[in-house]
Amino acid sequence: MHPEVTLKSPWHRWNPTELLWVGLALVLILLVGNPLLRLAWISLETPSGGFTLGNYAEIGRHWRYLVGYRNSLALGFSVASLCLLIAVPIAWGVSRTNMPGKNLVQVLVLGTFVTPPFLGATSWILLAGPNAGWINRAYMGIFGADSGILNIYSFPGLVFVIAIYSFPYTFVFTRAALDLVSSEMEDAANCLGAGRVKATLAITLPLIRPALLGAWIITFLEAIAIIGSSIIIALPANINLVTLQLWQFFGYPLRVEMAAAYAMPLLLVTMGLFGFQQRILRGKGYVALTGKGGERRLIDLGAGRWLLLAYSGFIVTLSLVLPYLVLLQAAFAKGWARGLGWNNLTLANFQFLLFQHSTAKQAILNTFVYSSAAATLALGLAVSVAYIVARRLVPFGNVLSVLAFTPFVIPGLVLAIGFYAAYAPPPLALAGTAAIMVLAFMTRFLPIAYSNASAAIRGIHPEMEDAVMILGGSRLVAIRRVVAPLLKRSLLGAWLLVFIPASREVSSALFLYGPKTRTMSVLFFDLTEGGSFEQLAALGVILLLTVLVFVAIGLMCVGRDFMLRKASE
Amino acid sequence: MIKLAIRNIGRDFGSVVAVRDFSLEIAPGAFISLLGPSGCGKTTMLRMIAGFIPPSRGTIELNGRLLSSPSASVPPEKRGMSMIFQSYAIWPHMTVAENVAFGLRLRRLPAQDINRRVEEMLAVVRLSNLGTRYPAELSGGQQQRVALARAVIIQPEVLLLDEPLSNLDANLREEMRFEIRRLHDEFKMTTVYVTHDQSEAMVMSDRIVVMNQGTVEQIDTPYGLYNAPGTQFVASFIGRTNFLAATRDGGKVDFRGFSIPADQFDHLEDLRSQLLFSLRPQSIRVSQSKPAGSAGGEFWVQGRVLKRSYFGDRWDYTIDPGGGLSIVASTEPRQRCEVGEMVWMAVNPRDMVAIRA
Repeated sequence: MHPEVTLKSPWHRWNPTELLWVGLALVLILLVGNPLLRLAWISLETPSGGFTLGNYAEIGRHWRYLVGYRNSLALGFSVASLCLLIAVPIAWGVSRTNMPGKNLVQVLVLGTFVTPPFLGATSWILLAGPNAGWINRAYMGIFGADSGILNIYSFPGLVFVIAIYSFPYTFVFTRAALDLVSSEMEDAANCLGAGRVKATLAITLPLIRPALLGAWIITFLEAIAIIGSSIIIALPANINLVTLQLWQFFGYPLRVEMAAAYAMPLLLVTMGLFGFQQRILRGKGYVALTGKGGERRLIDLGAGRWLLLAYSGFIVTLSLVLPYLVLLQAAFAKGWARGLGWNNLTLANFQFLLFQHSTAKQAILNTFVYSSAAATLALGLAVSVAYIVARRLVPFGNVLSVLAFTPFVIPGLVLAIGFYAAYAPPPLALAGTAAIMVLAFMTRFLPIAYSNASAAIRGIHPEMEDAVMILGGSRLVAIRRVVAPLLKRSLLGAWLLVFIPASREVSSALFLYGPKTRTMSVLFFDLTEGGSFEQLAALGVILLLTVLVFVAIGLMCVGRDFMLRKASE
Repeated sequence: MIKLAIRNIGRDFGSVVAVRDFSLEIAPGAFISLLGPSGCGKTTMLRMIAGFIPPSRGTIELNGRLLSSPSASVPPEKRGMSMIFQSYAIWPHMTVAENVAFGLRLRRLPAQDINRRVEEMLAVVRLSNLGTRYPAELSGGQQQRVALARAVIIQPEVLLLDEPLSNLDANLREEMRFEIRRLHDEFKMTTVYVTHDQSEAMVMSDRIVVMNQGTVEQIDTPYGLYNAPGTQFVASFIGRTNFLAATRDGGKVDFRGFSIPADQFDHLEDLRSQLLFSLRPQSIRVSQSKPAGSAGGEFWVQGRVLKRSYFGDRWDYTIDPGGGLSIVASTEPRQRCEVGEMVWMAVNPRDMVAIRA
């Protein structure tokens, strides 16, 4: 009809966005889908490549393997419940009452959050190791007892050491929920004759029950998948756990197929509980959690506020103050047990690590390189996927979204076993390379990158880009001139949120490192065998400084709440 | 001459029909409004004109050149139009001047020209001294002016506006109506304006397209829409009205509570025996004493006041003339009748619009 006009259709076959979509889908399948499939596959394989259920049968035949499951479940239950006990009063104090020192308490909880749990566990050996630990020695000194009262190398010790570094999750969940409960909810109960305690117990706590249950599940899963503290505390205490058993399958003789089979129940429990948690959080009926809060007044606790502050102080003393004190003391000591004093002070531990140790320098460098690479790649992938999903540029965008979120429900060590199964053998033969470390870190923290990228992109009104296009700019111009500048700030935050956990990642690193690809956290576990506590502490200080520097950058550039808030999303 | 021709446009989203069959020809420099409740398809229609959505059926032509058809669609950036969005879509990382200059920069005009034109444009929208500010420092009305300036400066073929005033407060909204109309008159832009606010559409438009559930109900001038609504939907959406069902019975039109001789109505012979009339409350006069006689073709109908509401600038009386009818009549604020009182309503058949039911 109008031959002089040439028309271009945006829905033409194989346009660039569709190619991009296919490309991203392939990357996601290689990173997420393939390792999981290989994991399942290899668990059903005989060493010669035939099909078998023998690996699963072998689990049933060994009491030790079954005990591992039992212990891990018990650990998960205990840690998750203890976290509730620790965190709920603090969260309530910060959110709903006139407790003094709220900001300080929050900063210290954030400090606990960024402390690598294996570092905390090591400090607690110095504090509560049988007899030699500081607390035990103080006890014996004061009461003249023959032996200390605490033994960190025990099941309760293990529960405590994991819970004291997991409770910030519970704190964040609880606080976020409490922040949404309006005072009017409690006022209504007061009007009907309920006192303050009654109103809190009968109204407020039930209102945030979904959040509490969600937090319980998260900490449960954290506890059953944690490898660092398990190696440091449970291994010497001879408590077998799922994580330890998996680690042993990766020792000599290497039994990947057993590891895969043994990891399956862990994977299923994790996925099941996450599914359950999503259902609870989506559940209707808890209007206070979805709607806008009305007026919020702080509850006047009277003198009780000091009591609550003391309690919060006590908890962060256990999680942060005491551990950091003994860690610093040990890092600069010739012998940590000899106490404070000028003659015990030395820089030899740092000197040893930085100048004498054969791999320490390499490990520090690796940590930075791998974490930066993983953060950058994860964010690049996450932003691309989030953008095309949010703007509905392709059909089935939600599939990509689900794939990008999947690593969230895979315990790090299970993911690592899957990566090993998929990419260690030929043709790729990535075993022991930097590539497999970076890819594993990237995949592991892809959900963090994705949820941040997706939130940031959803924060940009699509009309911002429509406005570019109607004025004559293409979508690429819109991305370059409008989307990219607007995303910059939030993406820096997201980058740090991937970099920081990647820089202290233990579980996947321990399963995938090679002789030349140690990271700081791998080195830390190397030093637990054969190294001294003083050197360990020194490495811990280096690790902590790294983390703190980047957290500080984040706080400066992105804002005060950046880690705690984001973690709850 | 026709600037923009929209022919039999339809758009489906899955099994939902957003726009059914939309046809409209717009003359150069005309101000057209698409008016309807939310979900009526007006924004979808606008975004099809802009090129953000390809149509499922029909064509759109600009200056006789095909822009959109189900098989092919010129992308928005090649249409030479501009649009003002509900969210304003002002870019927060650019200054006011940078926002306004953006379209000209894309057209690679010399920097001098750009600066001059931006300055002129900012003067037109009365933002002269705010060029170096960032949007976050501006009030809602000022942001709206930035959006206007940014859209108008490129002298678009067609200016599209998607409920641009819905985020402003009432006073500002009134002011911006005139501002937009003033710009339109000054630059003589062909304009398509989407709104759900009938008074906005009435005040600004040359013609209004009333849409409902994806279909066009009526296309007419504001005067025509109000005084001769073509459908029941239009009659109720534009202003307030009473709907009176009637039966034609020989020489009379029977409204159940009262009747009027059929020869008093124009063009009634075209209509069927079951009728529906729209009668605006403002067209009814109320008298508390028995009137002496009727003037100008009025008929007096007696009824009882069922309910009254006082609005300050008027009274609304709901009156039952018998037969279970309730007719709302608006009177001036000083005329007070009591509930239960018998009153007389003056009804003029000239004001009663027969509607296809």
